[in-house]
Amino acid sequence: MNAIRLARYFYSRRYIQEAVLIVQLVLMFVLSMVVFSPVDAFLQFAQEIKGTYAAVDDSRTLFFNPNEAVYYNGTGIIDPESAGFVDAAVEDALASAGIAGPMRTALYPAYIDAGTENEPEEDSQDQPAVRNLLVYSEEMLEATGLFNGESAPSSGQSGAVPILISPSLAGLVPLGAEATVTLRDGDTGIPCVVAGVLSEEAVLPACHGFGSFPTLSCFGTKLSDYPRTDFIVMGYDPAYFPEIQWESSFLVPLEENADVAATVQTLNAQVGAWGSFATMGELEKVAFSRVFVNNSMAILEFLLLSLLAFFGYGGYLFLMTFQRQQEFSVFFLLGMTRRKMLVLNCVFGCVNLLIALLIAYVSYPWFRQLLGSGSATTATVGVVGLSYCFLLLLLALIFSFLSAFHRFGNVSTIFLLQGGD
Amino acid sequence: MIQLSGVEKVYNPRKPTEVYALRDVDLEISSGDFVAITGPSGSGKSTLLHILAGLDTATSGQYFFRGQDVSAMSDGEKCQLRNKKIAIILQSFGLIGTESALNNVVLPHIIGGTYNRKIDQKARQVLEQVGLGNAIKKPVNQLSGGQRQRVAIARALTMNVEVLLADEPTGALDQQNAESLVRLLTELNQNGLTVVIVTHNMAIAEKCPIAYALNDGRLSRTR
Repeated sequence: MNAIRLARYFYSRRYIQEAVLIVQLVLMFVLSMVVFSPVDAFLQFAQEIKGTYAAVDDSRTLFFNPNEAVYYNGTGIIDPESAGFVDAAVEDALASAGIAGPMRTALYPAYIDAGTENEPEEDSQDQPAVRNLLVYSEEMLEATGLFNGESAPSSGQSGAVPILISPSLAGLVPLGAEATVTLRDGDTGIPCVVAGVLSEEAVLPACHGFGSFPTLSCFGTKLSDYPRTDFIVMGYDPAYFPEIQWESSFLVPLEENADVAATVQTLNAQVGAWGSFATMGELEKVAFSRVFVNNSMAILEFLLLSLLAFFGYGGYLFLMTFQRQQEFSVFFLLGMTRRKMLVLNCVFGCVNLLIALLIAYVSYPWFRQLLGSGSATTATVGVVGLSYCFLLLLLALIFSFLSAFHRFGNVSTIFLLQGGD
Repeated sequence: MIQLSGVEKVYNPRKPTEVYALRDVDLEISSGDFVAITGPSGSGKSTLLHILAGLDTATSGQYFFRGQDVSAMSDGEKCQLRNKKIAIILQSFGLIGTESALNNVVLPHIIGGTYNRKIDQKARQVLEQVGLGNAIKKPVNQLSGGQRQRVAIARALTMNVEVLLADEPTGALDQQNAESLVRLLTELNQNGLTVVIVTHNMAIAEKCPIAYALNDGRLSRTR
């Protein structure tokens, strides 16, 4: 209790001063949230995608298209020996490249329609096929049932297959939209949820099923629109895919009787930086860099506000200390060490910061509505903005008190004691 | 109670601006003494008082308070000494102007962590004792110089200190208030409080049974 009394003597002598200071701090925090909202939105988006991935059992998704290999083995479209080679090459490549977690694969409408993937017999195995869907075209939207406008946003469901849509489709389908993709048997439904929008600049590996000729014709029909190096093609049957029709660069052309070791090495070189988690990191990195590139004014605003916050708040405390040097010297005279004064000031200032932070956190939706930047229900609290601003102000608090006490500590005693002679 | 032996204070030692404020000062003050230290401006009176209060440190020599070596004490220990044993009143009063007389009087207890309702009651009694019964709730900066000095004395009394050091306590007061203050200090001394007054006012010094004079940093007993 005495400590609180002392702290009030130092930090804000009157309740009204303290209230004004807290209001100022709250506004500063809210401002920081507004400035940081693009970054926060991006981070939240990235978090949602990660969350969706985390909801999917890794053991069910760690495939570099192995089910297709199984399928092809089963149907004899390619000979079992080649399929075994592909499996071995992929496994070795993944292991030696240190790729953990699932690789994303493209699942085409034609597959879904034709039901050539995720056959019920595959599902009956220990590792049923679960894929991520990369949706590039409106046709694909239709195929997944997401284009009929009946989909409603939801919070997503555990175990749903994440769908990442291209930026051109972002306006057509809301994030969180759900769909159930039905397999050929008509009974097996795969729950899917739109988890995010692909970055235009993100590198996205897509593994094409080799030997599946319907793929090309259904691949959004505009293959040339996609950067060719965005696709890793594991293998193909030249008889089905004349190069002129494919028009895609094959990063790892699979040739008959190819050297396994050489292929693994090539795969390492090509795939090493990929993988779903690595790609997600890449996605985040690129998207984050785009935040800075596309929001240069916001960055400038942020820098200016940071300087204002630091020097405004820190300067206020410094001047406050300067103005109260006589009080500090009285306290020193009456038996309080300078260190205790400094600690009390810092602790009480920190408590005030925390109170302001709490108020800003609670009232942020209301502020958002007031500022017209969103509804209260969709408001998200900017964790990054709050944390950054809190740390900045905390730094300003400690720095200003340290410098003020260093500067005025001895001076204040002299100030008080002068005049004896 | 207080024993100074060979105390020297040098400002800016080994520099061209070196100044000897105190030279080889020996001083012994017993419990219940009423001591005046006089001397012209710049003679080192205030420096000596600041060393006695633990606000300043001697360059050399030893200072013992009740057998404890104050010159070897840490800042925290010296602060404890000022909070519990030694009070100091200043020409500039050493009060927080915007706070009430009562708040100023209880402040040492708040700092020392000993503040409670009894202290509050005691502070009110002491303020009445020094003639400030009507000014308890008034902010100190609304009081006259004489009243402020009484608040400072009331603060020292509430602290239950053993020694009261007064640095030019009448410097900012008129004749009437100055005499009234000295009377109050004399009363307190008669009740057992050790009082040390630093002053260049010889009329006040003459009222003290023991007097020392400081000249160019050298202390000599005159009475």
